[in-house]
Amino acid sequence: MNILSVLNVSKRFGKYQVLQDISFDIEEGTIFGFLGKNGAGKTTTMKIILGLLKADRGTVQVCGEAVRYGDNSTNRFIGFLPDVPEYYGYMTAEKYMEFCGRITGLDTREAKNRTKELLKLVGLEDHSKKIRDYSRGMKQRLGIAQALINRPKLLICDEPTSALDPIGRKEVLSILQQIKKETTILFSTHILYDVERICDNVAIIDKGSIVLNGKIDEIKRRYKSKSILILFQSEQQKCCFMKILSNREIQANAQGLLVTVKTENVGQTYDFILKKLLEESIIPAKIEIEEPSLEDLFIEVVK
Amino acid sequence: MKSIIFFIKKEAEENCYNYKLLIVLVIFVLIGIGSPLMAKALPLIMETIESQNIVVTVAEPKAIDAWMQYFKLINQGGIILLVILFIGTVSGEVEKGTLINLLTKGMKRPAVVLSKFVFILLIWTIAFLISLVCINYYTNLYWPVSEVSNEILLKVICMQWFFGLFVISLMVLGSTLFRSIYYSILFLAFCLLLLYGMNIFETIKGLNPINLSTIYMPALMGTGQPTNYVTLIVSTVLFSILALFFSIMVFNKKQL
Repeated sequence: MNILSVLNVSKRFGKYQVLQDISFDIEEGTIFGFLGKNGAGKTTTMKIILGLLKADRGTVQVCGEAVRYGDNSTNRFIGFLPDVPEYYGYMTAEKYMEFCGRITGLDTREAKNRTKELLKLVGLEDHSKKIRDYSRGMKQRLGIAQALINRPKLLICDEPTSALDPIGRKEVLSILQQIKKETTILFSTHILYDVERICDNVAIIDKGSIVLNGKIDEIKRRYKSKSILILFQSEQQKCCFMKILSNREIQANAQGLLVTVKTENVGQTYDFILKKLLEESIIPAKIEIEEPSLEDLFIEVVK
Repeated sequence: MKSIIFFIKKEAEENCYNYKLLIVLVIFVLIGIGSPLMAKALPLIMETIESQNIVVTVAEPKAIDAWMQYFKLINQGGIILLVILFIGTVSGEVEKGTLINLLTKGMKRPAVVLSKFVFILLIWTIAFLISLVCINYYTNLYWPVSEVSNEILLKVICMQWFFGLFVISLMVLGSTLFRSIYYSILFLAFCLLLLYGMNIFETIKGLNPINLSTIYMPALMGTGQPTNYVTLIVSTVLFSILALFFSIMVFNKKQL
């Protein structure tokens, strides 16, 4: 079942076409990575899903219900973590969480229990200081906790890791992985590593259009590798090998003892290299077909 | 409905922490205590001027002077203070982004506007009541026999409260329409000036809410034309509901 369906959504700000006919679906129980450069249209898409911005065209459905701009009723299914979450700084995390709980209709006991549970999940249970004294990472973790207070079916996180240090990023990603069992996650970022680490599906948005969409594994399979990596044991081995390649006009780059061979036909070139290495009795330290990284795909589809 | 109550509670806490509540209460109490004191001290002040070779004749101050002074200060001080402190009530939160977390949890947009309006109205009502207790106590203390009838006083107090209600509804509308508090203040000033200007049309004078702020003078002195208070109050309430309705409509369509 699709938790979220975005169909042919377009949005223009003045003379800038921010979104152009974008469509994608998110299946229940998955982590969906929404990838794009800064200014590609990620936040605008999310705000349209949340009914905070009006789409010029297209429809959005959350749990089968159409999102109507200005009417927040479909937001009862959603938890949202903005890129820079803003709080009432005079409150403590506990007070803020309970306030959010009561606003969403939880009773006193449930709001207290949920607050305790979620603050423990994000590691803020022992903090009695006011939110205004929190670090960026702590605010981000509290952001996840507040977004989960009403047990949303869909958690939308807008660049939750972008401004964090490596430890903060790791913490946030591990929290997202933990809550995958309870909720579907839409997660926008421009950090490819984060998407590769936790997402099942990915959509790449560029200049307001979806340029790639699907399961990460399938996409990687579809975009087959075009590189072979060979690590030699000595400079002599490398020079000998490079000479063979230059005779055959095969394109290769060397960095130290590592040689990267670029080719349109990986299988054929791989066979050829193995044969030649055997003929010349060169035994490299390592030879492998390079796995395409999301970074390569990203650069390829947005260029 | 529940979310409105929790949001009002949040507003109350927030305004305690940023001292706005305290400032309002202190100023309103000062107006309540200060008005009869100023009326009482007027002859003394005038005596100081006399000593500088200027002869000024001042009638013996009465309770009515204290009340006149009080309503003048409430209009020119109290209500303006409320405007200065609370004009950014909606726009401030929109600008900071603190409402995003709440609206994306399904809190209804009209609940935000209504909570803000009810909270400021509550502040106005409580502060006004406290200052009334103060002025009543001190006026009775200085002038045990008052020439102002309770019936007229009650009417004037009622008018003043409704004027406060009207200004608050316009203020919330201004705060919802604009992101900058300067534009909101300009909007409010423009509306009030426009209403003053409208007084040149005799036929609509009796419906113009702005007249609630000046009615205390002829009413207390027993001069001027008799006014149909009920019509004026009904029109003010209608204008206020309209302003509130517009605020909700505008906020419902606001891109956040």
